Parts: sequence; C-alpha cells; structure tokens
Amino acid sequence: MVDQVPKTSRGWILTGGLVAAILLILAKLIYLQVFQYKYYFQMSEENRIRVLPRSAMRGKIVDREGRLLASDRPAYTVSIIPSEVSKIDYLAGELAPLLEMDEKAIVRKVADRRTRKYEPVAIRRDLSFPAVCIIEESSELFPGVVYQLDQTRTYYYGKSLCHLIGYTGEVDEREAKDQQFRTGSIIGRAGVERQYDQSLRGIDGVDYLEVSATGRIIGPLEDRPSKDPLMGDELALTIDMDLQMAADSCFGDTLSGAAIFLDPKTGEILALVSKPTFDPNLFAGFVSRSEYQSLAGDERLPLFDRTIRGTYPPGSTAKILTAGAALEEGLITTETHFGPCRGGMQFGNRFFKCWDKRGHGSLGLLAALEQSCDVYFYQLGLKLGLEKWSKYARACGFDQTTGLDIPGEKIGHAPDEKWYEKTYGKYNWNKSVMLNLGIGQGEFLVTPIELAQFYAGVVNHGVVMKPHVIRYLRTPKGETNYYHAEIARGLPFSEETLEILKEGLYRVVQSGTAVRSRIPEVTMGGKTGTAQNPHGEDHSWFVGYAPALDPQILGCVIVENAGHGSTVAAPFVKAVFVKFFQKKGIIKMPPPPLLPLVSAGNGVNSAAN
Amino acid sequence: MLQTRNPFTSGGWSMFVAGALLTIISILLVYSANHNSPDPRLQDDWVKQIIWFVLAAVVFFATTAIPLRMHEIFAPIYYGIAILMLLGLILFGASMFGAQRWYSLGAFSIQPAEIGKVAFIFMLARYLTYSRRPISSLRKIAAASAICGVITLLVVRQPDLGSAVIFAIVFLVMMFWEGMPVKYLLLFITPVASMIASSSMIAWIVFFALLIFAVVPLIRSSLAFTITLVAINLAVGAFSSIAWNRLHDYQQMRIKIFLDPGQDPLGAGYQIIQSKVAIGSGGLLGKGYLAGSQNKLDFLPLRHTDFIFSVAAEEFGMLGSVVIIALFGYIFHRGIRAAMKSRNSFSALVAIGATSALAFQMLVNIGMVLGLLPVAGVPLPFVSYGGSSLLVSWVFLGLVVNAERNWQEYS
Repeated sequence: MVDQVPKTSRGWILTGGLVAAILLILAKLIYLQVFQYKYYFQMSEENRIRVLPRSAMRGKIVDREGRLLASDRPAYTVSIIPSEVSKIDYLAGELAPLLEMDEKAIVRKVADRRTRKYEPVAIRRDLSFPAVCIIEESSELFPGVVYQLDQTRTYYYGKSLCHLIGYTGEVDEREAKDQQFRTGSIIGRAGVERQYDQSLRGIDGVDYLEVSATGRIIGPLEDRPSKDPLMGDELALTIDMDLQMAADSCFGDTLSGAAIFLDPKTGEILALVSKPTFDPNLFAGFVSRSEYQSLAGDERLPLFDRTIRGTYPPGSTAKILTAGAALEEGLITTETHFGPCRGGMQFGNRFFKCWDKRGHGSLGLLAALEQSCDVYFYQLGLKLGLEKWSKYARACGFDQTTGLDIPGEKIGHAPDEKWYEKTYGKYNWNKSVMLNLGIGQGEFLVTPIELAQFYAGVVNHGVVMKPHVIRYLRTPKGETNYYHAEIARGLPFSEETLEILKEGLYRVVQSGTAVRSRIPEVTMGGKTGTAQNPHGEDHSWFVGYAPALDPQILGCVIVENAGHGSTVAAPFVKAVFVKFFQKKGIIKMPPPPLLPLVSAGNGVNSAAN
Repeated sequence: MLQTRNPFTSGGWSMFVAGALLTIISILLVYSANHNSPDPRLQDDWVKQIIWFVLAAVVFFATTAIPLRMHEIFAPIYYGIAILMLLGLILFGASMFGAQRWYSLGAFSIQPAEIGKVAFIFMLARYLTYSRRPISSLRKIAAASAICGVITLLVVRQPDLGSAVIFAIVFLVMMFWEGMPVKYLLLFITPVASMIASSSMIAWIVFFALLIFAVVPLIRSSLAFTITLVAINLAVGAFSSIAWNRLHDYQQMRIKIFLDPGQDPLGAGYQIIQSKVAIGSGGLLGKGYLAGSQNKLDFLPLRHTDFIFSVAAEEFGMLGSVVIIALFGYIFHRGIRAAMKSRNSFSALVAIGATSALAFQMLVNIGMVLGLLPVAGVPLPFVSYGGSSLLVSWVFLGLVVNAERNWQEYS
C-alpha cells in the first residue's frame, strides 16, 4: 500500500512541488517579458497614446485669372474613439439629436471600424459651434467623443463647376486598407479633386497625446513630437470663369446638355459645362442618404457629366469626317457633283430624307457643307464605304479617350464591319448603314469632348492637342509647375484637305446653316448638327471656332432635345465667343443679350434711346 | 515559561531582512500606484503601509519571542474568536465589491479571513498533535476536515473564494505533512477534478475512466475505500452544476474569463489583459520607477492590492519580478527546513502551515496576474497593500523563525 511517506521525504516532496510551481511562473514571466515583450510594449503604447491626426488644408483651386473656386474653411469635426466606448447604442442615442444625425448612422460608422480602434472615427463634419460647446461642457457624458478643428471644402461657384471640379469625400475602411489612407480623411472623389488629389491633399500632421484609461488627456507625448500638417498645392485651372458663367447661363435651369470651349492650339479648356448641375457643397459636409438618393434618382441625371460621359450621334457635325476621308482618298474634288437632292433620295426600297424638304439640287462639296445637304453625304458615304469610313473615324480619335484630365471619360462608338457582323449577323445588314454613318447618325456615337477635340485638330493644321483643365500646380513654398501642352495625335488629313474643310466650315457661318450666329467683328467657322434621338426631340449640336483664319477659341455645344443645331446650340457658342472677344478688346460695343428671347425688350429700349 | 531570547539568533536576522525587503518594495509600489490617484483617499496609502510595517515589525518580534506552546494552549480560543468575527461579518461587515470582508475601524480596516488563517493553522496543528488516533483513521480525518470546513464555509459565505482555496490547500499540506496516506488525499483532490470535468460530459467520462482504470489499480486499496472514492466523485460531479448556479455572477464570470480572457476585452477580461500588457511591456529591466504607463494612467485595475505584482513587473521588469520571487523562495526554503528540523510536532505543523499559507497565496496571486489562474482576489503576501494581510504575513514569518529557533524543544 502506498502509505506513510517518511518525514524528510515529505519535506522534499513539498519543496519539489514548490520549485516546480515557481519554475512554471518564471517560464510564463520569461514568455511575457522576453518573447512577447514587443507585442505587449506596443499594446501598452497603444493604450496610453492617442493619435490625433491633424488634417492638412486641402490646396485651393483657382481659375486662369486667379479667381478662387474652391478652398477649405475651418469647421468642427466630431469623432468617436471606438476603443473607449462600451455602450455605443446608448452613446449614439445621446449624440444623435446633438449632431442632427440618425442614431443608426452613428452606430454604423463606429461599427465599420474593425482595426485600430484607438484612433478616432469622424462621425460628423462641419458641426455648429453651439453643439461643439455642449459636447465640450459635458464631456463626462460622452466618453470617447472628441472634436477638433478641421476643414470643410467650400465651392464658391458651386453648381456651375460641379462636374469639372467634382467633390471630396471621406476615406472608408476598405480604401484605408488598400491605399494607406487614414479612415475618415478627405480625398477627391470626382472631377479634378480626384484627378489631382495627390497634389491637393497635402500631408496630414499628427499630435501624439498621452491619455489615461478613462480617456483623460495627460498632455503631449514627450518622446514623440507632433508633426505639423503640410498644406496641399494650389491648383490653377485653364478655365475662364467669365466664359464658364456665360456658357452656363445659356442653358438656364431647364435645358440639359454640354458645352466645351477650348483653345485649339494648346488644348486648354476655357469652359466646361454639363447641365443640369448639383451643388457639390452638399458632399463637403456630410450627405444624408435622402439627399444623395434624390440626386442620384433625378431623371434629369444631374450627377452625370455629359461633357465626357454622354454619348450622342454627332449628326451633321460628322460630315467633315466623311468629306475629309473622301478627299484624302481622292474619291472627290471640290468640283465633284452627285445626284441632285430633291428633299431626299431613293435608296433601294426606302426614301432617305434630307433635312430640308425643299431639296438642294445638285451641289459641290463646299455648298453641300454650307447647306449641310444630307443627300450629298448619303452618296459620299456610299462611295467611301464602311471600311474606309471606319478607318478614318478611328484615325481621327473616335475610338479612344481624349486624355482630358478629368476622370471617368467614356469612349464613343465608331462601328466597323466586324461590329455589324457581330451585332446583326453576317447577312442581316447592308451597305445602307453607310448612308446614316455618312451624315453622323445611326450607330456612330461621340462624346462632346471627342467631337471638340476632333474639330480642334481640324482647325489646328491637323495637330490634335490633348485637352486639359490644369494650368499649374503651386506648392505652399511657391514653386510653380506649369502644365505643358501635349500633342495627342495627328489627323490623317493633308493640309489641302484641311483647307477645303475649313473653307466649308467658314461658309456655314458666313452664308450657310449657322448664318444667324455670325459675329460681325470676328470671322468664324463652324458646323451645325441635329442628332436624331429616338427617345424624343432631336439634340442640337454646334461646333464653332473663331477667328476663322487663326482660331483662338473653339466651342462645342450640345443641347438635348432642343431641335436644330442652328437655332439653339449655335447662338450659345456665339454668346460665349462674344464674351471672349470682348475680353480681348476686339468687340467693343456693349454685349448683345445672351438669350435674345429673354432680353429682347431691353434691346429695343436702348436702341430707342 | 516566557523566555526573552534574541530573535536574530539562528537565522532570524536574514528572515527579517527578506520580509523587510518585500515590505519596502511594497511601500515603493503602493506609492507608485496611488500617489497621484484621482481618489484623494488612496493617495496616502503608502504612509498607512509604513505605519502597518512598524506595527508588523513589533508583531514579528513578539511572535518570535512568545513560545509556540502558548499558542498551542490558546489555539481553541483564537479559533473561536476568528469564527465569531467571521459570523459577525455577516451581520455588520462593510460591503465592498459585493463581498463582506472588512471590519472598518476609521481609516483602517480588519479582514477576519486573514486572522482566521493564523487561528486555523494553530487549531489544526493542535488537534493533529493532541489526537492520539493514527492519521490514517477516518475519524481523525473527518474531525480535521470539520475544523477546516467550518472556517472555510464561513469564508465562502462572505464570499471570498480566494481565501477559501488557501484554507483548503493549507489543510491538505498540513495533513500530508502529518502523514495522511496519499490515497486519502485523493478523497479531497479527485472531487475537485470531478467538479471541473463535469462541465462537459465527455471530459467527465474520460475523468471517470482514468479514475477507475488508472488511479484505483495504482493505490491498490480496499474495496470499501474504492467504492467511497468513486461515490464521492459521482456525487460531487452530479451536484456541481447545482453548485455552479449558486455561484455569484461575478464568480462565474471570473472562471469563464479565465478560460477565455479575450471574450470581453472591455469588460471582465479587461483586468487580465491589462495586467499581462503591464507585465509584458516591462521587459527585462522595466520602464523605470514611477514610469509605468499601465500603472500611472489607470489601465491596471486594483493595482495597489491584487495586481501589485504587475506594477513591479512593469516598472522594474523581469529583474524586479525575479528579485521578489527569489525573496519568497528564500522564505519558503527556510520554512520547510524549519518544519523538517523541528522535533516538536506542533511547531513543525505550524511552520509548514505558515509556509504553505504564504507560498500558496504567492503562487495563486502571481499565477493570477500572469493569467495562469482565474482572478481569485488573493493578495500577494508582504507586498499587496492592506494591513491585515501585511500583519498576518509577518506573523507567519515570525512563527517560522520561532519554530526554527526552538527546533530542539520536544513537545
């Protein structure tokens, strides 16, 4: 039987047990203090250190004449430190009325943070000063709630620049992981705010504070100095606000469409308008779900940037593409006449109409351009053929983006034989598609910026510049980096071809379809277009440039559902051109009314005086 | 006969130094933990601890000087007083942290459970010495169990599970020392295992398989004993779920948190996590005195009492921790040696009881702050803030020195 253990052995057994237990404790001590030292030291640092980021001021944005378009203004931001909140539902309930927010939205924002729970999550930007005072005075009631002076983006010309400048937004958890940004920091979400975010953003600073377990701030950390934020670069745009406002006001509040004005020699965008618009200041503070949904759900699509994302049939504005290709291929000369226009022409068992029912008779190229005779271009298109047409359309850049420095640009559609075969089947389409393509209808789609770039190339000796809205970036220290104009491509047209096309375009304004938009002081060229729209009224196009011999400005305007190019789009271009040349001192007389219909009465009165 | 002898003969001096070093460390740590506490009542705790140290030194000298035979005579009176004080607690005790553990005397407070430890050791030692029955007698074991059981139940009633565990362990060690056969230890130890195993049916079945097919053949005991052993284990296992439901919520929580501290990092698991962070972040040499961020910024809970070892480990690192453990090791070594040397059964039992009380409080406390054991609310002898604990630690030290010095005396 295992029984009486001798007394000395009992002493040794107890000693042995004690030694074993102490060795176990020492082993755990070594494990914690030696092997896991770094981990636990990091944890103790995280415990005591509160990292308070200090957002850098976002760089301001100015127009080409230095007018302020967007800048940061001081505002209070309220944040919650998730690790210091034990009952988030309760806290959210207390905070919700003060922040004028939904309780669930607060809970969701805090819950979204899965890592780095000791860093504050921005809950509400741009909080009113009285609300901040309440939080400050009753900080005991709101554990883990901190506020700081921050910035909120302000857009001074809000609506008229919304698509171009875009807006900013907060970095969410997923992006913070992917891109090394801090959650809740501000990044550009659209427009140049996004395109030049790197430069505009600046570098955030940081304060390291020592805090107690209850969240009491002891003071700045001695061994880790604060880092001051570095302001972002100033971005100067090539936009001229006078022209931008002029173009914007043409549309009024009811018309939808796009307007692009640029310098064809450099590609500098002078005005870029997409209508309708929205107020980007909504996105700067915090957007409530309902506000966003009302914007996103608006059937006029105010969030949709038509200048770079809208694709339309170019209508008659594409006739110079057909003409240029045919001239280049040697299929016609200016003297070549086709069968007469009798208000249309018979092709197969279908009658293809010309826009002018009265008919144009038999015309040469220049007259056909001037009158925009569809029948001439039906026949020219047929003669050119799909293969050659699509080759030229693509060489002219209609199958690629323009390279404009605003994100989200779409590509139009210049179909070729492969596409038709794929879409309709090998034998289910025929040569008659060329009738439509020749006059810029059918499956041919362009974005306004593509069309503007093409025309800029035509009037710039075939040299196509990359359109851009950036003029320079200036660091806070004052170093300025100007953007240098870049050539995008060359047009596949010889100088002779281009001269003929420009002659045609000049005639359009001089005596053709756009004669009503002529400016006496300045020679002007251009082309009207009417894009057939199966969903409603036709879209009205006009692309114009001036002066005709040495173009300084080119405008491309589409007004949706507005009918003929000559009646709506062309006067818009004219209005902006007048503003442009007034600023140059070429047009000296008081500005003619932008919208003759609205201000006709005033004109009569001043004439009488 | 009351003889005055120099307490520092036969090694008493070095024991005093060991205890004094631990107490000085305690005063330093209590100051570090509480001197700038937001609660002004806690800021002067280190001064109180100095006063207690002076008192404790006097008590230590007295303990070394008073012959142990005196305590042998008065043991039943001590025991009776301790029982009455524990009973009184239930009626008049100050309630703190959901437990009634204190008698408040102005700025100071007395913990009867601490006094009870001394009284219990004397009482058990006296009984085991006086009873003429062999230690293997079940009647003797039952009577000894009753001495332990009464006081333990009163402590559990407070409720103070940590102290109750210490009573139980001290009892087992003293019984083992007195020569109780190992198989009888199984009567006490296996039911605990059965209780823990009963939390899951599979574990319980494995436990019984081990008990019947491994333990029982090993001890080669009588059929009656075997049946008793298995029956007790069955009963304990079956009723432990009922016992579990009778535990306070926070006691259940402590056990759950011990099993998985991560399940509620901001709630009950907070203490263990923050303690481990404090200890781990101390590294080899510590963050420096008064420079422990976990300590001074309030992250450590109960840092002047139960978690004071974490403060030491954070500010003095591995070096400081090892020094504290080494001082304890020295005291334990001397305590066991005194018991082994003593020719007097009562002295030996008192020495081994005192040593095991100190040793297991130290092991349970440090095991707890390291996350090896559940949070049990056991103070670290000599070091945790608290007059009763400090006084009783010094009494234990004095008893060991006394027993060692008078080893030649026969009973």
